[in-house]
Amino acid sequence: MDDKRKMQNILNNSLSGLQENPFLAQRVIAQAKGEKPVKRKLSLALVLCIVLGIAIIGTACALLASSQVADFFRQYWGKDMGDWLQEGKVAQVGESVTVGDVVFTLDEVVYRDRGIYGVGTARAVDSKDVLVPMDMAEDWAIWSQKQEGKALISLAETTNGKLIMVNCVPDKIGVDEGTMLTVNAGVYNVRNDDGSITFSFEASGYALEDGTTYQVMLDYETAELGTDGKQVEGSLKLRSGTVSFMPVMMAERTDEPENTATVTANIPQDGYEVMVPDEYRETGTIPYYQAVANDFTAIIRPEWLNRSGILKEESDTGSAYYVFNDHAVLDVAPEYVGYREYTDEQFDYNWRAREVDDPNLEPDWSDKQAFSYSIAAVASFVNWGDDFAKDTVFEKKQLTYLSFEDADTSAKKMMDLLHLSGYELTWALDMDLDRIKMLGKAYNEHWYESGSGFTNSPRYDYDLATAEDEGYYLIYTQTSAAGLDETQGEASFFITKRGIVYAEVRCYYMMGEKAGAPDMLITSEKAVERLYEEVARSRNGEKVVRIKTVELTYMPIRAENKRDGMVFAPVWKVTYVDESGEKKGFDSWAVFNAVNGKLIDAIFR
Amino acid sequence: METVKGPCRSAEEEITYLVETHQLALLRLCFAYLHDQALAEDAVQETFLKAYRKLDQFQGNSNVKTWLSAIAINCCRDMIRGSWFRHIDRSVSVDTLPPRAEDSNPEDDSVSVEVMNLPIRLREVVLLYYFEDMNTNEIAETLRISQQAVSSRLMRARKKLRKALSNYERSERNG
Repeated sequence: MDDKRKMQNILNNSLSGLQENPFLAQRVIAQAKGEKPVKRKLSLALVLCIVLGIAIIGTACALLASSQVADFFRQYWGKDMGDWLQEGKVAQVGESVTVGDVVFTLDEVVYRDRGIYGVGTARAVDSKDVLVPMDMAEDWAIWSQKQEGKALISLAETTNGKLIMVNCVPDKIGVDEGTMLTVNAGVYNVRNDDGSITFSFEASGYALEDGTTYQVMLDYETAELGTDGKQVEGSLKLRSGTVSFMPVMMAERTDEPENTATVTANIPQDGYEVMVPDEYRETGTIPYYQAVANDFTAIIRPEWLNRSGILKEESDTGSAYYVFNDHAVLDVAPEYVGYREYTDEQFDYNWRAREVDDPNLEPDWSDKQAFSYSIAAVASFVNWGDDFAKDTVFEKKQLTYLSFEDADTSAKKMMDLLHLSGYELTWALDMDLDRIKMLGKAYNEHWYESGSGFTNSPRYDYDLATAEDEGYYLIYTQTSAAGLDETQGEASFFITKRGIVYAEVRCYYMMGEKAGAPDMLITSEKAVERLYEEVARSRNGEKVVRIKTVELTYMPIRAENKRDGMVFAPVWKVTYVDESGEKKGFDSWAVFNAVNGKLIDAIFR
Repeated sequence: METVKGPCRSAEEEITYLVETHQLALLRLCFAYLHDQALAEDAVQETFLKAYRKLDQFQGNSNVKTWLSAIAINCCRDMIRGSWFRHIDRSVSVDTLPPRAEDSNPEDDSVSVEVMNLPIRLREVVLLYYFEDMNTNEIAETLRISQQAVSSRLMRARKKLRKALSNYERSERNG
């Protein structure tokens, strides 16, 4: 064999894992046609190829006056929601996936304002089987004792079929074949008279820009339920599938904001605080940074948190779950680390529901939360601002066995190990003995005695605490980026003399290297103007707002050029107070791309 | 010689045929050049898009594979000029190669890794000469450099690859 041939073989063997994309030709043609008109028309066969290849049946939908998605959401979430979706872009899908004994068919999807909304149908392969919507099955133990649950159990007994829980959850979304993004998802399933389940979902992503073709990755799951309310062991079946679709407009709508003139006339000229980095003051701009997707599962070592050894380990694609010999639990996902201590004592997690809701409820036995976990819970509720802990502030930098500096060092060391950077301490609480007892008493009063709260968690007598239980509850926030909700870019720890006994860490993206700088940014005044425009055209339509702060910060979004992946882009985060409607008096926010002024995400969406 | 745009084929049919015939080879070429599967896929798509737009201009003076490879190499070059590319460590190891058929020789991978870690100027001539089967004249035309420069770069690349290739030869003889 000559040298050339030999080298060809070597490279071909090494790269034999690369796979062809069967739809590349169609994509190339579609891309060429999308960019500029071509004289020649596509042949019918080729059109069919494109349509089938990317699972798009779009043009027919243009003729639809209504949509299943809009109708479903109108029925369950109100007229405003349905009407708002009616003005979105729709695609009928019709793709089916079989999971266990259930066929899921995604019927229709709607795209509007960075959100994807879908409706589909789940049907049992065997007509004897009885499907249970996840919303009901989630608390099946209670439902199975009530009329609706009993009716389904009785139906399954009559047909001699199985009770099967079904669910469909959006996992990731993308646009124009770009980076698939983790979503904020909501699901709602209902059982129909014919026994099928209509599943629905809302998947929104702040980085989901307007585009042509959208992708949504759905996780389908089924599990058999026993009549005792428990999931039958080993019956859980999971499957993921990605659907690509090209939605078209359902009805003509204007993208221009409604009543802009009236609304903008009401913009206050002062009375809010503008916060910008020094670099912006000096140069009028701030750079982009590379956004590096986080993956805790790739870096975590269980022994960093607990050295008692591993009793049980369950690792799946993209997640890991460890139970230690001392019963502590470590739960890891790409963007999440959770660590909590438990005891070897079994606890009935239906005890309170039985007292309050149904005296016949079966016990639900599981490991009992450790005292350290309950103290951390008390501290975290102080952070939430619950009434029982009003006016509680940080006081002591030294506890009996632990200083604040040592606790802070432990937390920072853990964040270093987890490769977290740009996290700053934003809240701290010293839980000394007196405070544990005092707050614990108020906590019990709130959750168990006054009837104002409900929990199935074990009740503890905090008077039994000792100095060994003292600790600091510390919260670090990724301050370099705008936090869109409480679950993003935050690390909470409860640290005692034993070290970290409780941890909740979330991080989706880390800031990487600089990746260029925009020439100029829109002004804070323009961002405020954009807020009023967007509020006016929002589905909730609150129109009276008072601006509190306008902050120039960062948010991970898909780069304009998709090959650049994700970037931390400069954004204006506008925080305001609703002065009307249901949310009167509540703080709200909206985030705008500081380069082009586009709305990225907002609480009114 | 394979030609582009036969009398009976529309542009869409022609590009579909080219994609079916050359996609895999171009994907391997682009991956070997860029060390990143997603970027390689983008580069291949861009290559065919450019080819589609230039179908009318293709004179048939060179073979189609050479023509497409030249476009692909230029797409790859454009990509590595992008600021984004420079921020990322693109060195390759056996672990970063795409999973391959189990029955292939692991020694192949070590040679491939050596090729892929060659400096870019040497890497592109090696890929075009060995992998794309171009002669020095075609490479010179593709890369817009002199034939002498091609020969010189090939010689330097062979020198760098000598150790990996001799290990490969040894394993071939032994096994």
